[in-house]
Amino acid sequence: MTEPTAPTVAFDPTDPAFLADPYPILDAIRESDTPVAYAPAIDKWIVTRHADVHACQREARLGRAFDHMYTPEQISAQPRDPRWVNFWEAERFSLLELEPPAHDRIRSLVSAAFTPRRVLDLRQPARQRAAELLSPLRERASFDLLHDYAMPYSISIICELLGADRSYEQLFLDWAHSMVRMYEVGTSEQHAAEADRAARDFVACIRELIADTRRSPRDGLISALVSVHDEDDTLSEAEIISTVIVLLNAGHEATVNTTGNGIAALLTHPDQWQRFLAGEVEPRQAIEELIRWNPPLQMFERWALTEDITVGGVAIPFGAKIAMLYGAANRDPRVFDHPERLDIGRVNASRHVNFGGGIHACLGAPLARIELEASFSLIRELCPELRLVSEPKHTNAFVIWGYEAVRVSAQRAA
Amino acid sequence: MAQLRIDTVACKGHGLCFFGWSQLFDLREDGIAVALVDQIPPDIRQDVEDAAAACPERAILVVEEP
Repeated sequence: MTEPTAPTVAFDPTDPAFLADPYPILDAIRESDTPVAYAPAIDKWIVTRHADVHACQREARLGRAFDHMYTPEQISAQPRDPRWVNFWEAERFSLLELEPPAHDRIRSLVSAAFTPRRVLDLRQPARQRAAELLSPLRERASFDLLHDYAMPYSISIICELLGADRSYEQLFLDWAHSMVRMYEVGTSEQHAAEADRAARDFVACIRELIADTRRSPRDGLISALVSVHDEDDTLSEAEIISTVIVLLNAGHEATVNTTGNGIAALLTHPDQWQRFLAGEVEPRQAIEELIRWNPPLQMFERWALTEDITVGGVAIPFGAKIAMLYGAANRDPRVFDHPERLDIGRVNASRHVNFGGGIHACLGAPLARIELEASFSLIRELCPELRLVSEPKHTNAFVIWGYEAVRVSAQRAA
Repeated sequence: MAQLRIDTVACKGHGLCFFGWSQLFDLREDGIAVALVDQIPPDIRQDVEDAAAACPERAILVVEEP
């Protein structure tokens, strides 16, 4: 008896031709007769349709981790490279890399500290910070929306949330930027070594902030994470460290790239930019469509933890990794009418898959939405003449999807 | 009259309903949505349907009474 032949697909997210214009290829795979297929180039099973991605995100047998059930040998996985032990330690208690029961215990404690109320309190500080940064920038001949605005903006909101001094901003930015390279396909050894060093320094810094907080309690999330308890249970120092680091790494780059991708999309669609300026569509609604249309995260992976998993009718072998392609799912015509069209008033735009779902649904989604709402509102108020001064160039990364720079001017064109 | 219900198991605390339609929804301390109205009179029907369409978890339910 022979095994049925698995559908395979030529999908290589490191191919420069693909990176230059991924959507036609993603669309073609999604609409082919193999929308779930094995991609030898990345040794993963790609999932492209909205319904399948949505189901995978909520499927307990597809885990973000396997080590609560199996050794790497049992699941035929590469063991983690022992040279990057600082990186693995920093991520050890990250909610994104844990499965139940450890996940549920930590998520419940973290949720009790990272409450919607705490996030709502950031609405006014976020508006104020956006205005402080944009006011001088709009007087310049041109500026980079990412490095001059979105990065300092997002990191300062996170410092405010954590209750960390603003003097940490630059360090946090550098460390987060180095660490997230580990999430890419085929991270180079040099980048991995940098990520590992960043993780080491980042952990030491957060450990010190926790110690400070224990000595003299103050406002902010670090303090709340230190004092949160569920009956007798509390978060350990290592758990707090991983939580803070994942908040920065998962939250910071995604909001920065949503700002860059989103504003670039608006400025290259003058009809939509006019609707936005005219107030026809609220920023909070426009943001959902901008995330859908060109998301800041393109690929997210999970392990097949049992032998009986099927995705869209395709059997996934035990121990295989699936790679959900968010840019493909977000343009599925089964969910979104004319998905290739940017329509900032689209009512169901928030059905995009980018904040995930199930137990790993983005815990920071309300924070991201408040940060982005303040940012886009202030850009609309203070920079109505905004225009691109050069065509933004993509980074060569696929997973974390964004531009190197988004060069803009808020001055009326001469 | 139709009733507004939240599937609190499906709700994962994205907060979209509260951010978009704060006259219809609040959030519990743990982020799970709470409906502020029970009955859906015709004048808010469209808002409820828009909020339900926006929910990524499809946790906002409009229950038609027989």
